Amino acid sequence: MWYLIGGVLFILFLLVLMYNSLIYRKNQIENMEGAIDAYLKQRYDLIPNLVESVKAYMEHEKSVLEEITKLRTLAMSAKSFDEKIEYESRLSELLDKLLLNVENYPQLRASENFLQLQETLTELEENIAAARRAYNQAVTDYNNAIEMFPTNIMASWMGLKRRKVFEIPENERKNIDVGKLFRN
Amino acid sequence: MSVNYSEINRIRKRYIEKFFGYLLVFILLETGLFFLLRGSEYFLIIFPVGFLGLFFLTSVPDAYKNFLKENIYKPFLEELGIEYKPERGFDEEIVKNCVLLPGYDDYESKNYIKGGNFEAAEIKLSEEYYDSDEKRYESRTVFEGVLLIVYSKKTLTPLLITKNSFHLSDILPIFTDKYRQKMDDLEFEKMFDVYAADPIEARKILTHNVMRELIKLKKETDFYEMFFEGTLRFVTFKDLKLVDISSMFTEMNEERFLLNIFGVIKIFKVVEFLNEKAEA
Repeated sequence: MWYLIGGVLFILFLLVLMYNSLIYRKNQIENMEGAIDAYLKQRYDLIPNLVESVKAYMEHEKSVLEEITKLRTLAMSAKSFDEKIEYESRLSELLDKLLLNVENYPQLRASENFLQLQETLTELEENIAAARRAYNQAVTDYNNAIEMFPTNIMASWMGLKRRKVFEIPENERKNIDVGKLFRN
Repeated sequence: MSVNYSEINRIRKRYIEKFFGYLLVFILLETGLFFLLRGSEYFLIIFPVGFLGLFFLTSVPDAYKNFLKENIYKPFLEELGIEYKPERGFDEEIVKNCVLLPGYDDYESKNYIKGGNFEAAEIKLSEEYYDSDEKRYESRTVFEGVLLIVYSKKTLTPLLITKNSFHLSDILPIFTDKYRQKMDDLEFEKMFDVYAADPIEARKILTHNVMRELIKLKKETDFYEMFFEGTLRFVTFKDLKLVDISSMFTEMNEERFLLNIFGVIKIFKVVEFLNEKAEA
C-alpha cells in the first residue's frame, strides 16, 4: 500500500516538475519578447528623427529611407511577434546599410545631431542583437523541451506549439566591433 | 616586453650542472655504501667526499631561486612597470570574498605582482577533514594556482565563465538551470559554461568575436575561471606558478620553458585581453 502511495506521489512530483519547467521556458520567451519590444519601441521613436536628419544630405539614398519608414510602420502594426521579427530583420539590414553609406557624405558626418543619433542607434542595435540571441536561446530551449521525452507529453496536453527563432542577419555575425560593447 | 633570454639560459645551464652534481654525489654515496657492506676500507675515503659534496650542494637550489627572483624575475617585471614582492600575497579578505575560490581552513599566498590596473599572486588553499577512521584531522589542498584581479572602468553585471561540465537539464528537460546561459557558439559551449542573472547583458559582453577570442585565450593561457562584477574582473589559473624554478631542467623546449618559468606571461595575455579587447 505504501509503495503505491509512494509511486503515485513520485509521479505527481514528476508531473509538477514537468509542468513548472515548461511554464518557466514559456515565461523566459515572453520575458525576452518584452525586452526586445522595449528596445524596438526605442528604435521606432528614433527612426523618424534619424530619417529627418539625414534626408537633406542623402539624396541618393531616398529609396532606402522610404523603405525604412515603410518597414517601421509595418513592424509597428504587426499582429504577431513572428511577423514583427520578419520586418525587424529587414529593418536592421537597411539601417546597417544606411549607416555604412554615411561614409560617403562628409557633411553628414560632421553634423553633431546626426552623430548623437548614430551613437544612440548603434547602442540600441547592440542591445537588440543581444536580446535577439537571448530570445533565440530561450526559444531553442523551449522547442527542445516540447519535443523531448517526457516533457513532450505534458506539452501536448498543454497545447504548446513550436516557436520561431529570430533570424540573425549574417553581417551581424561578422562585423561586430567588440571594443564598442565595453566602451565607457 | 624584453626578456634577457641569454642570461636565463646561462643560469639554466648552471642549474643543470648542479643537478648532475647531485647525481654524482648520490653515486659516490651509493658506492661508499657498497664498499662498507663488502667490508672494504675504501668507504672511508668515498663517504667523506660524498658528504662534503652534499654539504656544498644543499644550499644551491635556494640560492638559485633567490638569485633568479632578484636578478632575473624582478628586473624583468620592473622593466614592464610591474612591482614584484616574492614574500607578499593577497589580503585574506580578498580571497575570502572571491566567488571563484572554494571555502578553506588554511590559506597561503606569495609571489605578489602589481601592475597598472591589475594585481596577482600565487594562492594555496587547503581544508581540514577527518581521515577514514574519523579520529584525526587531515589537510587537503582545495585550490592551488594564481588569482588575478583586473580593475576596469567599465561596470558590468555579474557574469561567471567556467569550465564546461555535464548538465542534467541538457538531456532531461524536466530540470532547468536558472542562471546558466547557453551561448550560440558550439566550440565555446564545449569549452565553457556561462552563468549570469541577466541573459541580455551576458550576450552584450560575450559577442561572437569575444567568444572566439576567449577560446583562443583559453588555449594559450589555460585560465580556469573568470568572473566579472562591477568594475572588477577576477581570473583564476589552476596549478600555475608565477615563477617555476623546477622547470629549469624538466622542460627542454625553449618556448615552453620560458612560459613555465615566467608563468606571469600568461597573466599578461589575460590582462591584455581584458584591457584591449574588452575595454577598448
